[in-house]
Amino acid sequence: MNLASKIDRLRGQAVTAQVDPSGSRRRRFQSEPVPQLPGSAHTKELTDALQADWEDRGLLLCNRSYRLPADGRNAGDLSRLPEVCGLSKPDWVYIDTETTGLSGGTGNLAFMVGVARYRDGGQLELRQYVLGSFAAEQRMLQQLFDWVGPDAVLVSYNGKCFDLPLLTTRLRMHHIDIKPGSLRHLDLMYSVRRAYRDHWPDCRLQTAERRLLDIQRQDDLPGAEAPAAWQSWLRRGVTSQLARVLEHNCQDVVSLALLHRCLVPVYRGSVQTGLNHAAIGRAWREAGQPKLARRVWESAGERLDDKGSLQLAALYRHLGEWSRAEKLWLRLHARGNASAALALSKYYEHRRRDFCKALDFASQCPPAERQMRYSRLKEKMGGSLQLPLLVYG
Amino acid sequence: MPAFPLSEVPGFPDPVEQLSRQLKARYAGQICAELTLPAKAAQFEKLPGELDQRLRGALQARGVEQLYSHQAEAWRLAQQGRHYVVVTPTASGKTLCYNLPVLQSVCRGQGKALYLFPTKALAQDQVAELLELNKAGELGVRAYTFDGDTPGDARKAVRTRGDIVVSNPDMLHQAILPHHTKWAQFFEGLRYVVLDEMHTYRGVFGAHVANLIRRLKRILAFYGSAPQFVFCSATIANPVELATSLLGEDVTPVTRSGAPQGERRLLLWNPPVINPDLGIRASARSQTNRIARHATRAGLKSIVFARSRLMVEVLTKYLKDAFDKDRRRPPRVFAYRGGYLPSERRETEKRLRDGSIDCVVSTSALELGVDIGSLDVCILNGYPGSIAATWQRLGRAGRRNRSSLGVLVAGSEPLDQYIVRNPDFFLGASPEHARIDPEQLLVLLDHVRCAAFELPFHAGESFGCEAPLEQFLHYLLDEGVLHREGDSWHWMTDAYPANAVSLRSVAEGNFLVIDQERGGRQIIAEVDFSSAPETLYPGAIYMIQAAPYQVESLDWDGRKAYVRPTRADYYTDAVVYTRLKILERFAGLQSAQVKVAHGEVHLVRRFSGYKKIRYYSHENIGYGNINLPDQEMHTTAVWWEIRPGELERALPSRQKALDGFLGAAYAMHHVAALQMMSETSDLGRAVGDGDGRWFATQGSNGRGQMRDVSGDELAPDYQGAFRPAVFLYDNHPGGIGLSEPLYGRQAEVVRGALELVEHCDCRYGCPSCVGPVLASDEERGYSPRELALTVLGLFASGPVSDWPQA
Repeated sequence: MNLASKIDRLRGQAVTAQVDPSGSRRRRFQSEPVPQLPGSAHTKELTDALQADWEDRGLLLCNRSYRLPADGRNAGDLSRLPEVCGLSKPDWVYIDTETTGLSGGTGNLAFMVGVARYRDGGQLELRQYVLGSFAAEQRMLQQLFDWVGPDAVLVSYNGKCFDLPLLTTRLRMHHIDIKPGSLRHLDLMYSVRRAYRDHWPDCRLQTAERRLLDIQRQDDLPGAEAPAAWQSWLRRGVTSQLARVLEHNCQDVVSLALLHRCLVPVYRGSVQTGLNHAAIGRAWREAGQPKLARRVWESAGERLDDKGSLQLAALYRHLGEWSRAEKLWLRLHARGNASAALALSKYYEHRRRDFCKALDFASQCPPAERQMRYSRLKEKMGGSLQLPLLVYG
Repeated sequence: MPAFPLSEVPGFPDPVEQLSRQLKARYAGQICAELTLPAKAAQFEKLPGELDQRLRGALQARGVEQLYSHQAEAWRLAQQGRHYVVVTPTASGKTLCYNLPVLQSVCRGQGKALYLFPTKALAQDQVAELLELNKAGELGVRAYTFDGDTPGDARKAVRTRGDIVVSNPDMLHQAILPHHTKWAQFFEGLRYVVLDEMHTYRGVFGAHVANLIRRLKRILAFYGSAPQFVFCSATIANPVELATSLLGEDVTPVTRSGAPQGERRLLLWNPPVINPDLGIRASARSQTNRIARHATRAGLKSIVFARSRLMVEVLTKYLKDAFDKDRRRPPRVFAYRGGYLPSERRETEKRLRDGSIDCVVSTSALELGVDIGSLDVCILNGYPGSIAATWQRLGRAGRRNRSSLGVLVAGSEPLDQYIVRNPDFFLGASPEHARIDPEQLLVLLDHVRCAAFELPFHAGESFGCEAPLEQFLHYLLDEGVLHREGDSWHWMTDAYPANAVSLRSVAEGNFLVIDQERGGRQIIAEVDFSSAPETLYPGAIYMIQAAPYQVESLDWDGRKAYVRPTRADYYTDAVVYTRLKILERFAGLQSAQVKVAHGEVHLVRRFSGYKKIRYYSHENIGYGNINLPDQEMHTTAVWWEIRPGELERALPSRQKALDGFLGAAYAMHHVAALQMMSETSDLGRAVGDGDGRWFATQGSNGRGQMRDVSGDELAPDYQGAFRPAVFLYDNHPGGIGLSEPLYGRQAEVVRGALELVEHCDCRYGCPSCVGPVLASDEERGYSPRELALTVLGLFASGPVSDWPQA
């Protein structure tokens, strides 16, 4: 008896006889062998279907060029985002992969990688690498990162957690000594999430396309079907689905570039509603850009939430603009914000030296702070203070 | 308590010896045997000259000025670059046999180490010990555990900065190997792989671990490293064989312990018979309690091992009632078991080490590795299930220069009874062989699948298995998970195969047992596929650590059983009709009376219902139905039959013959499990004829019944040919390699069963020998025990010549 029927027999009982009367659970794939070397009819079919060039031993390359709608911005402006501000002449490279699986681990690979960068004329040059066979992967990775170069700034959507770790794994699998993790990397998913998390149902790329870029994809192949498309090429030489994956990937990469442009004004405070100003301002603040933080926070006006307002007030205090800070604290205090009471108490005690007012606000501080401030103020006021009972109650 | 041990004062008798003399005088009837292992002096060697100065300092700071001879031997093998396996008694300083070479390598920047322990708790212990040594010598070695509890943000640090990573096989299987690129740096610098508690890697788990090591070696080769493997094991009969089959390469043994040992005594204790007709003995619990009290009163430190968490609590309560009544004084009795908080357990361990506990009651949790200092008396409440575990537990008592006492208190189970009556089992080499079958087809297939995910296979590559690798790859190709391109086989689907493979079972899909008490959904146990239908049917009483739970519903496809704690005073026993058909006979022996053979069988099990059986009285108090599909299995078996003429002469009544075969099968099953160092559930038993025409089962009247293929009862006397056989089969799909060695030991199994039944103290048969017997039989003087003895006597007459293939 051969091994396969032995295994089938053993597995037949691992499932139960009645549940599966056919006895065999296996799906047999009647795969026609697909010739893998250039020159065959299949290869021709694939290059035709994808309108791609045959590079070498199963690697396909598809070149396109796009002129994006003009918006008067130059590439330098694009670095006005918290993660990348201050970069001089950044060499943006937009990147998106299509993979054989989403589960992670060494068994998945990217069978298609789309990358794009701006050319001198301002148009977007797009390259899509497609694997016609497993054997082409090593060549693809090498060509890809040669093209990307060591000084690129990658721009992706969820690339930090998905695309780049996967490519890093694949490079290791081929013993190629390139560490894409050391490249600078702007992951737009974080930028979008920061701004819109509380306002959108989800922050997928296609949601961002619809809401920010007004793109409605027509006849788009869902990303989840991409692995099957590549499999049906490998197993049966079917090219139609793979061509749709190519379009999908192309759209993803172009959308990245458009989204990038679109997020710059969002992050500069030019949009007043429907986004989380507080979080954007915080990101600027953490990036060491207080002026930009202030502009975003102020642009929100009354809509800025408590946390954002407190941070803006702290920024005013830092800049010595005390009256602005006071105004903001008083507004927050009127809304019952205890942290504002604390800030006001400190402000009246140390800045204005108005201990009565300081004491008044101190009584509304969070309990942990209250007692300490009280004792100190009492000392400063010469021990003549009668404490209201409720303070200790 | 005197301030110094009396034994060290000349002229004073050894208190341990005194206790044992006292017990022997008072309980002569209970003590079946006494064994004495003589004291042994330490054999030292100097610290190796090439030992790193810092490491030398660390050892000296901890009071180690020289090495035991086995530690020195291990050191030499390590320096020679050999794989080795250390098998020395508990508390002989085994861990230094690998820690020393590993720390030396790390200190000198010569490479890192991966430690694998079967459980998480042991791994954490090990890291604690390493850290102590590290601190003592300021070695700067970074040792981390990597397991399911390691937080996500710490994992990267473990991978990139760890000098010693301590993990377990399940993590290696599911998290490390499938992500090996993240570990590239670690694997590139790996010099040692250490597998401690090797004896736990047997049976199904062992077959998986052997294949896991094949995968690991494949990944290591990819990163250009070929580390040394070090194994450590409790005493088993075949450590080298086991280590060699786990690794697939030669392994050198280190077996001569240089650690000193005080004199050790072992009493085998059988509780007195209180009902001779039913063969019922006083409970092991009451006896254990009594002995522990004697020991504690004598001022000795003792440890009591119980087989379940519940029993730990019960015994602790009894002993606390005796010794910890005064709440103002510090407690003297402690319980230790899984389920307690780690901090609580660490605290108890600490108290044990500093000697402030007089008596600790524990489950097997304290059996492995954990350092608890040394104690005087060890009491085993029931046979732990294997000789290795017995020695491991007994080894917990015994100071280096002072004698110790072990008492094994037998329960009423056949294994317990067999053990106390066969004290020779405890002498000489351990009779238990740890068996694995790395070639188990389904296990192998699972790991080839996982390996293909980790790295593509290339033509001409070998996985270290005997079966041709290419055929497995073709199988996976047909299944659609691989794609062949030229000479390579690539992973093709969006799946993470390691998640679907559990290292503890053969068939896919373990059942989870879920406790729904208080609206909760707590997973309390995992049951492998093959034993699920006979233990988890709705209505079944499922015992976890002796606590009864009732199965409320079974989700067959979802592989879940929902249970609730219950107070039922009965247990349930599935009525299983097992039908066997011999497919192929591999080998056989015969004589004028009997035939014994080994071969492949096809097995169908039907679950028709279950019996409710009251505890102690064993009376049948009800029935329930089971609605489950038939289970089919191809596996291997050993079977015994008696030539028809001989059988008729010895047992003219076919009914009696059936009862005799059923009783013999019961005894042989238990003895075989013992000899094979396997769980009783790893082996199955059946009585029937080899064509699957009929099979025998015990009916509600306690009498053997003959049933046909569809489960209908047959009248034995009206059947044509009558050739009953006892089958003992490997209870896993495809077998896990148990039946071939079982065939090799068939004579020992029969002899053991014969002794068990012969020497049982019951009159007509009891659960300790041939299985439960009905009270009505006793009244009428019908003795299934005699019948079983007749059958076993014939089996034991011994096959002498080859039984040629037909």
